[in-house]
Amino acid sequence: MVDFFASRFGANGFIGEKLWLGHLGQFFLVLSFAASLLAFLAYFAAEFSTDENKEKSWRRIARSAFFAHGFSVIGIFVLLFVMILNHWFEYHYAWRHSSTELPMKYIISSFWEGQEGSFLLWQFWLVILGFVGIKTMKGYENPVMGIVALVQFFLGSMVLGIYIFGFKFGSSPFVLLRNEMANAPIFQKPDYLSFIKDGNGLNPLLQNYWMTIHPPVLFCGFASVTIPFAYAVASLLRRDWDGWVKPVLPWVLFSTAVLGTGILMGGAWAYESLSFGGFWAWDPVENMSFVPWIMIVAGLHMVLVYRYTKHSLISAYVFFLLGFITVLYSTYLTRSGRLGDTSVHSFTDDGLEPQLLTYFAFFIVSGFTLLFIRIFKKQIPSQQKEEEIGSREFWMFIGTLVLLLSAVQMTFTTSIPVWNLLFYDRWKLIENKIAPPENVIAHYNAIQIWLGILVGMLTGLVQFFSYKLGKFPATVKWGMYSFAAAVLAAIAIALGMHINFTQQHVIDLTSLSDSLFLKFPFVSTYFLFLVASLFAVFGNLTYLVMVQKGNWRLLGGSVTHFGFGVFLVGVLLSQGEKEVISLNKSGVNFGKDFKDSEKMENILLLKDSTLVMHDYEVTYVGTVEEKPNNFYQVKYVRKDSASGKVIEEFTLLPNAQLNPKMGLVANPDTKHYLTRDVFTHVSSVPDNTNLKDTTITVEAAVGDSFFTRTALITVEALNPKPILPADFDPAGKLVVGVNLVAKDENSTAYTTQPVFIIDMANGNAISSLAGEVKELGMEVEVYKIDPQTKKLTLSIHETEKPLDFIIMKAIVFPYINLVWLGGILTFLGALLSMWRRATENKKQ
Amino acid sequence: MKKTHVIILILVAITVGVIVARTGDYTTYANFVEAKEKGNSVNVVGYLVKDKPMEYDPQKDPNFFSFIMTDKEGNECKVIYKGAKPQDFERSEQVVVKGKVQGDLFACSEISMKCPSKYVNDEITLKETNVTVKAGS
Repeated sequence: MVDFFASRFGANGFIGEKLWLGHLGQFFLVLSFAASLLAFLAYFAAEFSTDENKEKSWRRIARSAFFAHGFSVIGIFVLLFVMILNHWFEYHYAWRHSSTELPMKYIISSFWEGQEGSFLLWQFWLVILGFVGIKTMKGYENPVMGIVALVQFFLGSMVLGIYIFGFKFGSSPFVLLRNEMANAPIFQKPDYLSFIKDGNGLNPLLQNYWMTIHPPVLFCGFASVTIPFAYAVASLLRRDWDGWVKPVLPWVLFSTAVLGTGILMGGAWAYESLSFGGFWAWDPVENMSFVPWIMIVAGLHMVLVYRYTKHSLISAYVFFLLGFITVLYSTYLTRSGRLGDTSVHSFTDDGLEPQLLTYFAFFIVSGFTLLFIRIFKKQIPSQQKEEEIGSREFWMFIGTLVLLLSAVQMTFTTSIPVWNLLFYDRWKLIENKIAPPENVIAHYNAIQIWLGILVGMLTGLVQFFSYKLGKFPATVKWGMYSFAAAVLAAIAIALGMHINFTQQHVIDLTSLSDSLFLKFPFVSTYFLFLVASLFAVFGNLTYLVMVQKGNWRLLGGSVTHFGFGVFLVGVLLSQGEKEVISLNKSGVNFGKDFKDSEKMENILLLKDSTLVMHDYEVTYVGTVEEKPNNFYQVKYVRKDSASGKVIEEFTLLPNAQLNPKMGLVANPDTKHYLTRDVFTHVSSVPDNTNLKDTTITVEAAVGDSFFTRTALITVEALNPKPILPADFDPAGKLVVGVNLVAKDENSTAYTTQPVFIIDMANGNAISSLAGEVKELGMEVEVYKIDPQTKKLTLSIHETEKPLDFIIMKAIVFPYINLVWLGGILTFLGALLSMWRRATENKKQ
Repeated sequence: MKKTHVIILILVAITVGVIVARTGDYTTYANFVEAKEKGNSVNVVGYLVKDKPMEYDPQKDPNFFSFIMTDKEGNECKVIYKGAKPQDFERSEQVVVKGKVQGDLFACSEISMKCPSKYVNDEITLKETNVTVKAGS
């Protein structure tokens, strides 16, 4: 088969190319694209046919088309793996994103390093979810799967790589290297492949195990957001206000769990392998993956409210539409290259912007047009009776509004490049381009901490209220006890950890102390946040035990909210109480505008020297080289302060890869304890790659001084009786020692005595014994002594000494494990709920 | 009017208010002359002047780094940064500094740089012939 293709397609003058793969891949790309369009059309033909038999036959066509599409996508997937695994560098994708020395787990990551691979990953997940949908959706299959197929159609156009009317649609992963770089002279040679020994390789920042699993989970989350959107649109199309509610619930819960986990895995990657020290930096790409999650969570709560009370249906639609649309917006921002200036991890522009904008505009316009038509025609039922203040639905509604506010603020600041595009480039309404805030973290924290406080309080409180109940139910007393417990616990923690109750705590808020929004009388926002998140923990725990009495079918919600509370506590303590222990106190002061405490976080550690940091004595022991990585051994010793006995000892191996293409790529190393982490990161190392040897020749008389590169040398005297090495035979030789003093830049003086030799027995042959100054890496030889002028000719050879030190940063993160624990509990709780809703649906 | 509508209106008002107030945090892009006039925090895009001295002596102070930079209009300014010198700074193609002008100095709180040979650049190194082929793709 392979030979057949090779002989069939390889006969174009180039040796060794495996063209069959590209042809097959391109065939699948077109097939998958066309089949998704057919599936969309057939599903909608089925949806709108009035005749039951016609509906059935259209649906059969649609299913076949979707299966054809699905298997094509899987085919593309397999071919792309074959290409990357076998290092077929005739393909641009394999060449650009992988290299031969990459271990298997990272070869998998190269698959989704590029735009094309990550679009395919997205399509792949939607195919899998679609297969599950065909099996389970029953009455809602036609419209929902139709919309899924339409989304696949748009995604497929991004990887198509074909020209229609001179416009390039998408960029294909099967482009040949020689076509992508047609101008390079190497491709004139028929055997060019034998010269391309290796690929470009994978960005070293992505060579991390989290990067192998985080993108697939995240893209599964992104893909899954399509389904609630499709249900919402389908329900609006059908004007079926109730029938979609139960089937959509498991899908929304799945999205919540998987997208949330994907985002948190990204955080774990950043924490484990990036240098900024933390799991969240309010980076635009992070924000724009978080916003869809917020929308989906808000939608979930609204659809639950609708299910139990018939309130908030429009809100549920709005949030599900926004969930999918914000995924598209985030795709547009990260893949159009627009974020290039403001984000660390955006893709470069591959000319997809018009397509991405069309994709985004199509769904935003069609989705909201449909919703507005239904609203203005007053077709959507709404409750005449208002929500009671004491009811669960009322507070859930308030909570989702808070979530919306949080998402709006995040989106607004993240969209700065878009504002520039509109107000500066296009309409010229502003004089200067706007840039992100000077302290991005402070900007977001200042607002989001308030929303966090509200969300925490509501998460603790709302479960104790009942649906459709005007007065507070009896269970509210448990809520009050929990709140009292949360306040007491917060006071205890604040006392124990020396948290300030009254003043504004500095969570990177340095530039914002004048801010209106940070002031709150009597207690700090930080303390309020602690109370709120502890209330979320205690409230849900109490509810689970005292009200639900451990009925495990109903546990999902409580476990999720409990986990979320734990997560909030972890976020607050690990970020708010994090302590840079590598503070440098020796630096030079450069005026008040440099916030010294903030900036002097790097410390220099010479090899074998020890510095005290916090409880630890820290020593830089040496380096272990494992190409291409350098692991710096940093030893931490903790001693008992009274007896001086060593309590514990460990060595961290932060890594700095001196990558020829990217400069220093540092990977921190972290010591994990149950209650805290010690994070260590190398920010800089001396550059020893260009060590220079210098040799100079100097003429000087006794008493003269001259400079060499590292020292000032003075010729003190000539010594006719120099000290000679034991194995030197002076017989028949005239020897003269030259006494030299070399002073280095610190005026430390070293002496040395090179010896000039005339071998009289051997025809006056001239030689010399070199004098050495080891400390300066210096060697001096005497070439000539002129008996007339009394001048000496000296040759000074200096070797530059390699420097051995690291500049490092060490941070202690207390209770960061609560972040991961909370995340896992939230995930498990959501899965439990999903299972409950799915089995309920199955029974009916 | 329903009370939920009232609440929505209030929250919209708060949202708009908060967002407008917080746009005060935003900075702008400027050149060194504008930065000096304004006196507040700006972003300056420009280039490292490679033939003028950079100051970084980690053995003396690992958190002090200074260099000379020109903005896109060619105005020159000395920049000081309290932090470790970014590795390979010499090789930077373009530099963006965030901070403000103080006297004759630009006190910078964040440096970001673009390197010519970041991964996205397509560059084939041929091991045997030792020729570097650069192709514009």
